[in-house]
Amino acid sequence: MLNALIDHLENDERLSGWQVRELSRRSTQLFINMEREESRRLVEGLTYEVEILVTRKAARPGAREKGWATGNARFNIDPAALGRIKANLETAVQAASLVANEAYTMTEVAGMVPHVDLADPLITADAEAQVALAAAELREAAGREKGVRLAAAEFFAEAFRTRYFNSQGVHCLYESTLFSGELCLLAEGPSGESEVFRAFKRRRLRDLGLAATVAECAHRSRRRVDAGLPQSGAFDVVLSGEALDHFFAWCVTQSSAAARYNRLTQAEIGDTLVQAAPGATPLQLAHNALIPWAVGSYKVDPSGTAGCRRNLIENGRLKARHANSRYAQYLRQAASGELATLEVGAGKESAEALLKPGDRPLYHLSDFSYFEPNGVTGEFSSEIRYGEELSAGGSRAVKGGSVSGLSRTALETARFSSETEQRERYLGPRCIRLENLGISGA
Amino acid sequence: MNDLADFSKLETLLAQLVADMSRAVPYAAALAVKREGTRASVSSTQSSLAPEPPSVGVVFTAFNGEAFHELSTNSLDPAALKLSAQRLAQWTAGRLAKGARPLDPGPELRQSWELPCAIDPLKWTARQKMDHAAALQERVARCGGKVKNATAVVADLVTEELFVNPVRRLRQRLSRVDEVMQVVVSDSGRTQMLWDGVCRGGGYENLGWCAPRAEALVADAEKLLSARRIEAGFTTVVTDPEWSGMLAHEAFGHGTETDMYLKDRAKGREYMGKRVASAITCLDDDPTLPGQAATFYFDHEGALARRNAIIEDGILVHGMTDAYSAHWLGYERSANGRRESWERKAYARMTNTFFRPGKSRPADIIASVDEGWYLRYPSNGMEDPQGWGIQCEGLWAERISKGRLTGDVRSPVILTGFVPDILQSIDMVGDDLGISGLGYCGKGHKEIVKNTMGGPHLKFRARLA
Repeated sequence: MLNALIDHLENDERLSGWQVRELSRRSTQLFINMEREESRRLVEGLTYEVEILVTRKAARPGAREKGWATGNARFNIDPAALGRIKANLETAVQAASLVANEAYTMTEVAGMVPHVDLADPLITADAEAQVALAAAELREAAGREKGVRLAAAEFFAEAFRTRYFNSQGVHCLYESTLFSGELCLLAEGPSGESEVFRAFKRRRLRDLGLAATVAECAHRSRRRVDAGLPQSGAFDVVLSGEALDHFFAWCVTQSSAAARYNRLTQAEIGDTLVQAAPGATPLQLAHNALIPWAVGSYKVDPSGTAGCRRNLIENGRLKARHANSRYAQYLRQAASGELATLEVGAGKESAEALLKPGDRPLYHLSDFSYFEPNGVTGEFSSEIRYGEELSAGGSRAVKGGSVSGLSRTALETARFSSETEQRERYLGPRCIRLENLGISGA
Repeated sequence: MNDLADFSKLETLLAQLVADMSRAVPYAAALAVKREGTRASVSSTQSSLAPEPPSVGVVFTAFNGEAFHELSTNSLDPAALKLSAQRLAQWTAGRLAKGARPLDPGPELRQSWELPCAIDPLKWTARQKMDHAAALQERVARCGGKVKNATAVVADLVTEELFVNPVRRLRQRLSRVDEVMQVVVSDSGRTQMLWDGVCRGGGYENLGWCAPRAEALVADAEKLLSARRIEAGFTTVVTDPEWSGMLAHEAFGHGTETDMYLKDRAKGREYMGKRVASAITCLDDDPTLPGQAATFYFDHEGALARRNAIIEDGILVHGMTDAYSAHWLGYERSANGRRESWERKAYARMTNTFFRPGKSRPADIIASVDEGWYLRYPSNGMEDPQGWGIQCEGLWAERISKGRLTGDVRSPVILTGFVPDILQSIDMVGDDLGISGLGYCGKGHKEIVKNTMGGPHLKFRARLA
C-alpha cells in the first residue's frame, strides 16, 4: 500500500510537497486489579499518516511572503481504505486549496539520520514476556512492603515500526518501543487507607526501576496516612519528582518558534528571560532528541527533521528556539525538530543541602493532583498530594492545600541540585529549591 | 474503504464470529467503531483544514469467567478478522476459570439509532466550514486593540458504532460539532489567553453560539491582563454553570466510577446509601440528555443508555459501572463502559454529568453573599476519589461584596478541599442549567474520552488560592 500511496503522491502535479508516515504498532497490555488479572489485550494496527502541500499565488498579493501561499492537509488512511487513496487525495487537495498560509516546503535532506537507541529487542521479540516480568517484579516488590498493598496496575509494552518518506527525498525507517503503565499502592492507617499513584513511561522495562519505584511509593503512602494540611503563608519549597516534568512549561513556550510565530510570546533571541539573583542557579535549557533510550528521543520527527541537540536558554537568555521544519522556515532559522527531552542544567549544591530548612519551615513537595504551569503566563498552582514539612524540629508529612507561584519570579531565585535524573522527557536536577511560594493550607 | 466499512455487512460477519467464539468461551462480544470528521481552524497567523477520512477498528472480547481478554485490529480483511477472533477464543479457552459466574449478555435486542441532526456534518462542504471559521475569527480579531492572535475552530466528528454479543446487535450513528474561539491579548509585557465555545451533539445547526459572545470574551481577556492573584483562604464561593460542572465531574463523577470501587480506590463505595452532600444537592449522569456531546444510545459494552441518578437529595445512591466492575460488585449495569478508541480498554466513565437545578435565582444567590468570590472560566481539574481531595483551576474570580459583583477580578484561581465538606456546604442551588461540552476527560492521565459537565449556579464554602 505504501508504494501505491507514494506513486499517487509523486505523480500528482498539483502538490508542492508531501510526506507519508507508515506506522505499524503492536501493543500488549495487562491490567491488574488487586489480586486478580482484570484484562489482557493485544492491539495490532497499521496507519498511513499523509500530509500534502499545495503552493500557489496568494489571492491577496502582499499578504504572504512574495505573494505565494501554501495550503496543507493532513489525513490518515487505514489499510481498509486501499481502494480510496485517489478519492482521499482529491479531498485533501481541495482542503489544502482552501488554506493560504505563509509559503513553506517539506523538510529537505540534511545529512545523515542520527543513530539513537530507541527499540528494546526484548520488547520487539516478546512483549508478553516483558509484561509478565513487570507484573511479577511488581508483586514481589509490593509484597516486601509492610502495611501496604497493591490496588491496581497497568502495563503496556509497545513496539512501533515507522517508515517516513517525503517529496524532498528524506526517507527513514526505524523501530522504537515503549514500556508504560501505572500503579497504585494503598497503605493502612488508623483513620483509613491512603493511596499513592504513579504513572510511568520508558523505552525499556529495565529503565523503570520498578522495585525502587514501589519502595518509594510505599514509603509515601505510609507517610500520607497521617499527613495533615501544610501551614498557610509564603515558604521556601523544594520540588522533586513529577513536578519537574512540567515545571519548565513557561520556558518551553518562551523558546518555542511556534509560540513566537503565533504570538503567544514576544520574547526575542538574546532577551533575558530569567535574571538569576546572587546565589541562584543560572538557567540553562536545551532540547535533546539524541539521548539513548529517552522517551523524547527520535531519529526523525513527524515532519522528517533529523533529531539533534540544541541549547535554548543560556544563563537565563534566550539563545535559540526549538522549531519544527515549518516554523523554522517561517522564522528563518535552522529546524531542531519537535521538542524532545528537556535538558536542564544542574546546580552546584547537593540535594541534601537544598533540603535544609532555615528559620522557617521548608516544604519538600513531590506529589500533586495536577501540576502544569500556564505556558503563556507562567502562573502555577496545584493541590498537594504529598510532601514533607521540614523544620529544625524534624519533619511532618503534609497533604491537601495548594502551592502557587509564577515561573519567572520563582526561577530568579531558584537553586538546582547538582544531582540529576532522567525522567520521561526531562533530564535535569533531581530537585529544585524555590523561594517564597504561596502555600494555602491550615 | 473495503466492503466491511459498510456496517451492515460487517454486522453479519461479526455476528458469525461472535457466535463461533461463544462456543469456546463463556462470553464473547465485538465492537466496531468508525470515525470520520473535519477540523477547520483559522487564526491571525495561519489556518488549517484537516479532513479525516473514515477509519475503522474492531475489538473482539472474550471472557474466561474471571477476566476479559481482547484483541483489537484495524485490518478489515474478512480472513484477518476471522483469524483474530479464532486466536482470541482459542487463547481464552485455554485459560477458563472454574466456578465463575457467567457474564449477563442482557436481553435479546437488535436495534439501530441515529442521533438527530438538522444539518448533517458530512453534508457541509469543506469551504462552508472554513468560511464559518474565517468569519468568526475575523469577528474576534476585531474586538479589541490588545488582541495579538484570534483563533476560531469549527470541527465535526461522526461516529458509527456496532456492538455484537450472542444476543445483541446494536448500531448507532452519533455526530457532534465544535465551535470554539480563542484570543491572545498582550499589553505592557503581559500576555493572556482565554477561550470559549460550544460542543454539542447533532450537526451544523449548532453553530452561531460564539459570535454574539466574542466581544465579551475579548473584554474578559483584557481584564485578566491586570488581574492579580487572589489572597488565599477559606471563603464563600459562587460558581457559574461551567464551574459547577467541573465540580460535579471531579468531585463525585470520578468518585463514583465503580471500577475504582473494585480497586478500593474510591471512598464512594463505603458511602453508598449515605449522605455525602447537602439535602438540596442532586447529581446525575445522563447519556440520554438531548443534544449533548456525550449523548449516545448504548455504551461500548452494549449497555443501553439511561439516566443514572448519582446523588439524590444529598444521598449517594448509584455508581457508574463498566461490565467488569458491575459483574464483580453485583451492581446493576449503567451505560458507562466507554473506550477512548478501538485500541483501548473499556473503563467506567462519565457521560453527561451535572448537578440538577434547584430553586434559587442566580441573582438571588449573588445577592445572598456578604463577602465571597464568583468563579468563571474553569480551565482544568483533577480527581482524588480515594482521598476525596479535589483540585479545580480557573482563570476568573470576581469579588462579591455585600451582595454585588465588584469588578475586582483575580486570576488564576485554584479551589481545593475535602469533597464531602464542599458538597455538604452547598446551601443554594440555582434554577438555571448550563452544560459545557468542550471538555475531555482522562482516567488518571490517559484514556481521553469526550464528556460534558454542567449544572446550575451553586453557592458553597471552599479554600481558594
